[in-house]
Amino acid sequence: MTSTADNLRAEAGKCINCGFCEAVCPTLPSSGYDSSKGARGRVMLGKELLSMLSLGEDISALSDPFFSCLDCYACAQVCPAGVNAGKVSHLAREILVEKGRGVPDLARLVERSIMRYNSVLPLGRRAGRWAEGLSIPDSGDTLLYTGQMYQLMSYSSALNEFLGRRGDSSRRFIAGLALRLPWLMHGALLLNRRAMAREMDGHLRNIAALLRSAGVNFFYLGGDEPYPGTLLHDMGFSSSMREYAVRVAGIFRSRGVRRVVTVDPHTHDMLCNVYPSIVDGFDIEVVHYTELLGDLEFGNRGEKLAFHEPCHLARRFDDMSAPLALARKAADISLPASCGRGTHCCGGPDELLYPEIGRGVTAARTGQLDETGAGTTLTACPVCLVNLGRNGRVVDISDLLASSLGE
Amino acid sequence: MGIVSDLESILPGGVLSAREELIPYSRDASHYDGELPAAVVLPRTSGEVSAVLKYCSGKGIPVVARGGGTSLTGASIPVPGAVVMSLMRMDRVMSVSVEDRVAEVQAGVRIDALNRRLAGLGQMFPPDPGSSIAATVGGIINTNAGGLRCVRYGTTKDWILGVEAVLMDGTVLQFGNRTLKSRIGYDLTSLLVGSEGTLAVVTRAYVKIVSKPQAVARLLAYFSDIESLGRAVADVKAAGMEPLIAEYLDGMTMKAVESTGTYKFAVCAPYVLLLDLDGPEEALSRYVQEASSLLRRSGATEISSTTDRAELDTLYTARKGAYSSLLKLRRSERDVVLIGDIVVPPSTLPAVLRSINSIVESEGIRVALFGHIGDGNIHANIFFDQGDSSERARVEHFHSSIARVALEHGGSVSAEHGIGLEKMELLREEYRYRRSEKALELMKGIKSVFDPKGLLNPGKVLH
Ligand SMILES: Cc1cc2nc3c(=O)[nH]c(=O)nc-3n(C[C@H](O)[C@H](O)[C@H](O)COP(=O)(O)OP(=O)(O)OC[C@H]3O[C@@H](n4cnc5c(N)ncnc54)[C@H](O)[C@@H]3O)c2cc1C
Ligand code: SF4
Ligand code: SF4
Repeated sequence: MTSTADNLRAEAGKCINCGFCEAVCPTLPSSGYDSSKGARGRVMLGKELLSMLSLGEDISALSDPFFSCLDCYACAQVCPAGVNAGKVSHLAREILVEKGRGVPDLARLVERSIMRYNSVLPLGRRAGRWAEGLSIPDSGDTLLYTGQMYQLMSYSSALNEFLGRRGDSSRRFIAGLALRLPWLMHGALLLNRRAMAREMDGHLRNIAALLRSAGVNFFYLGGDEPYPGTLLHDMGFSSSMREYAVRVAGIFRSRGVRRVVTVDPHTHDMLCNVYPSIVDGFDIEVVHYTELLGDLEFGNRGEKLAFHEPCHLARRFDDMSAPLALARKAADISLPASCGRGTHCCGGPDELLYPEIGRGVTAARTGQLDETGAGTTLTACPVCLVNLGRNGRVVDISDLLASSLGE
Repeated sequence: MGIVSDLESILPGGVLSAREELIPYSRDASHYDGELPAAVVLPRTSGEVSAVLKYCSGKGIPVVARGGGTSLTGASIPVPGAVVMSLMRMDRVMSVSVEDRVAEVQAGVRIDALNRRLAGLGQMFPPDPGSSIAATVGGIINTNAGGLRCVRYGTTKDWILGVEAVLMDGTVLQFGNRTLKSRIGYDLTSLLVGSEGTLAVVTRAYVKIVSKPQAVARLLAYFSDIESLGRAVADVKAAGMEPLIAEYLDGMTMKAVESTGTYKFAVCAPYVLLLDLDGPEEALSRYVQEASSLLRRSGATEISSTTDRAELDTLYTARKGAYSSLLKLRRSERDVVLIGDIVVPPSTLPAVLRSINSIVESEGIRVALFGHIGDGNIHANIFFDQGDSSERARVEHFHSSIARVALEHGGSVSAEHGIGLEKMELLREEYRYRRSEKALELMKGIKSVFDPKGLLNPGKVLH
């Protein structure tokens, strides 16, 4: 079996240093053009990490370049040598975690929480509240799997806001404290945006209604539903991720799941692209809910919307055209200049650890969406929805579709 | 105080100094391993550029200006102890005037970004090096970059009306103007074009813009021998045609391009010529017919053409990516590619290409050839193992042999990539060949007038 270091060597070794990837890497301008936080810099530092390891040197100082990478894969679309600087960063994070060097306390906190609560925050039964009164069965073979992503947004955005207002050192202090005092994680639940929580619940209810209209029979795990482990994967906790994925897959199997319907890009990407490689015999069919709505008729009131395509749908799949095709049935859609596989990240992945960089990326994307002149943005991801929503009106595709259904 | 803390007080929030922050600035796109700079500064205004230069001048610290860091000749790698000045924070297109045919842009604006902005107005900035996605206005001015469209539009020098530049002592000056003409003494704007960061730091430029071509058709003419291809280009020129692009690729380059999956050539042939013709929609098919029969007479074995926008774009991207595609053919990570960048009068192409071919065959070198053949520019991409000194010596010999061929046919050793570190010896060779060594002395004199202490990008271009 090849080691993480071998994989890193192979990926970074292909680089010819042309600098093309820097031109599309959203974190480069957002970091004030600090090349160590740009794609080419990350590849060069990936090589440096390997050489430092071979000399037995401390690699902690390399943490920021790799943890600030958004995993958006914009770089991979333009690299003439076939390098993915996002993958380089991912492998480097796995090595940092494996060696226990330079891993931010907030990342450790997230890891501990997921392993302990099956979620980033101990949401418990609250995660299933959106489904109250909908009479969704609790067994069947097609699982509607929310991955708790919409439900987490009202808490995570309040938490990010709280931490983002503090400087780097205060953030570190709070994270360190929470690591020592686990009950503080429950305290974090007090930071909740109730209006946002209601909106997010509304999106999930819309999705359930749309699936029913399309004749899809599904069940839901309610408060037993686990988070898919996305952040464990993203932050490089590979061995915890493997253990956790086996746990999640075990829950699916024990409930007789044959097919999973996902509702957000991150969960969809995890189940399609990550789980099969880390869970033996993971053979559950995975579909995105928009892929099941093709036969529905939608009215089109000609509302002008700029569609922001989420990176994890546009770039991780060869053909994920369903959301855009549906959106076009229901509204007058324009695309920003950076679209399709060339889409631009919303900045969300940096919100927790590098809020300044994340916000710069969000501002850049908002500018691109504004240039379409549409005035309102449409998206299909709760993370994009909340991030871009800070700068203007953003609509979730489930709202557009539910409100135009059968008109 | 140390250099870093001094710089931080001049440029708060604009200095990088940690080892991991400096590493990315130690290299450019060439095969040279650079040194770690003492610090990197990221000014936002010409005032900040001036303050840093003044400080460095006082302390005798060398400064290397940097844009996209895409130089192929080592021009933008730091020298020991240098401060790297990245112009990337100066990334604004300040104004565009279609009436005046001018755009005012900061040095750190990338070329594709500028053209995206201009496209909305039906305009373009013609210089289009293969690296245009990442190369910056300051960088292409300082290398006098060329590109695919040079055959019609010339190189960067033809598109720069004026610049704002900062001298090493901190003086901020404007050379040239935003007008299409200006005869204001010696042409110092042109002097800065191609000076590779050795005379001044460019902070802003007035660049000429032009309307985008109307309709475009692309012909692909395949050839079985290089001489016929050379003759075809000379014939096209002689017939008075003004192609928008005239590029050629050899079989190895075609295979490399195909291996990236960007484009599949319809015919398997040793050479292909890409010819773009433009004009009013209704006249285009006649132009294509005329060019096709001329190319056939010159020896093309197969010809195809397209006006399909998507295919035009894919082919353009594939050609622009030719050099990068070739790099994928490296045998190992130790393999590097040295790029010959000669230029000859197009009329001599048949003879020049024949000579190059016979040198390739006799020296047994692994080389791929392509180039902007319409203006006589040929890139020989020579692969070699960095660790193999005998291979390196053979390659260097080959490199100077083809440079010699260019000189003998009235051409030059360097067309568009510049001199940097890689071609300093060849530069001397060219002036020696023309018995004009004194020109190099004049250049040194000019350098010492602009930068008396020799602190701007020292050790590049001139010995
Ligand atoms: C894949 C690939 C394809 C290429 N294709 C072409 C091609 O078709 N045609 C061509 O001509 N070149 C080509 N190049 C070479 C290179 O991209 C160009 O020379 C480009 O002009 C460099 O721009 P840059 O912004 O990256 O400059 P850099 O590499 O950062 O700098 C180049 C030189 O300019 C100086 N400099 C940069 N900015 C300033 C400034 N503001 N003030 C003063 N000095 C400055 C630097 O000190 C250095 O000497 C290619 C390179 C690559 C990697
Ligand atoms: S685009 Fe690819 S080859 Fe070029 S610097 Fe980035 S990773 Fe390296
Ligand atoms: S994945 Fe995104 S953020 Fe990371 S290096 Fe690539 S372009 Fe930059």
